[in-house]
Amino acid sequence: MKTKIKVFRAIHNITQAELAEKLGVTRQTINAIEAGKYAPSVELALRMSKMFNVTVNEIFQLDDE
Amino acid sequence: MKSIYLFPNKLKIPALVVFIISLTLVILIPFEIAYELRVPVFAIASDHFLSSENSFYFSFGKEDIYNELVDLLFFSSGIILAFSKEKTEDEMIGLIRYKSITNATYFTFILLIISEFLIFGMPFVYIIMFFYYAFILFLNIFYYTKLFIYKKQFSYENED
Repeated sequence: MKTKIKVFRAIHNITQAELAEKLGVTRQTINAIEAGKYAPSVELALRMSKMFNVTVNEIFQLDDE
Repeated sequence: MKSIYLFPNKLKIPALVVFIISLTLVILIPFEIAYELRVPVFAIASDHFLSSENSFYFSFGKEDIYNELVDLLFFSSGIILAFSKEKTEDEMIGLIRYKSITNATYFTFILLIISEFLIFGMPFVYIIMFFYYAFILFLNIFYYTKLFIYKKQFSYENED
């Protein structure tokens, strides 16, 4: 799964630690998601999309898309 | 979403201290380094094989409860240590805990099956006694090793 969290973090000018704190997860979890090592739950993906004010599909894409 | 019950994070350090102490006491029991705590207890069954002690069923009698107290401390502290919240408890830590339970189950029962075919007679009784404590021990070893690797692996922001 590909992710654009890093891009949206840059647009909103927030660090991994700040994003993690806002979402109530550890910074390591955000890092693992960005590195493509962990696929977040639907709930976390929805909370992320709400935070960045975009759809889930804009943040996460399947590898073959 | 409703998640499973986990013990509070503040119990982690006391549980670790009790777990280390009780693990030491458990290791010392086979070397007969133990106290005798003989008190009246109610027992469903008390039958000491090849011993002069009286047997009794569904009644009160005197028993040494030292091993039982050590086991109580070992299992309760081991469970609290593995199932207490981290400072920031999230879904990835939940996944690490779930993977540790799975790995500890596989590892314990693979060792048990191997022992079934390689160890016979009285030594197998000692092996069974080891497996009595092994699952909680392996669970904690797997969980904290995986947690350490996870924290180490993803502790720096990726620069690419």
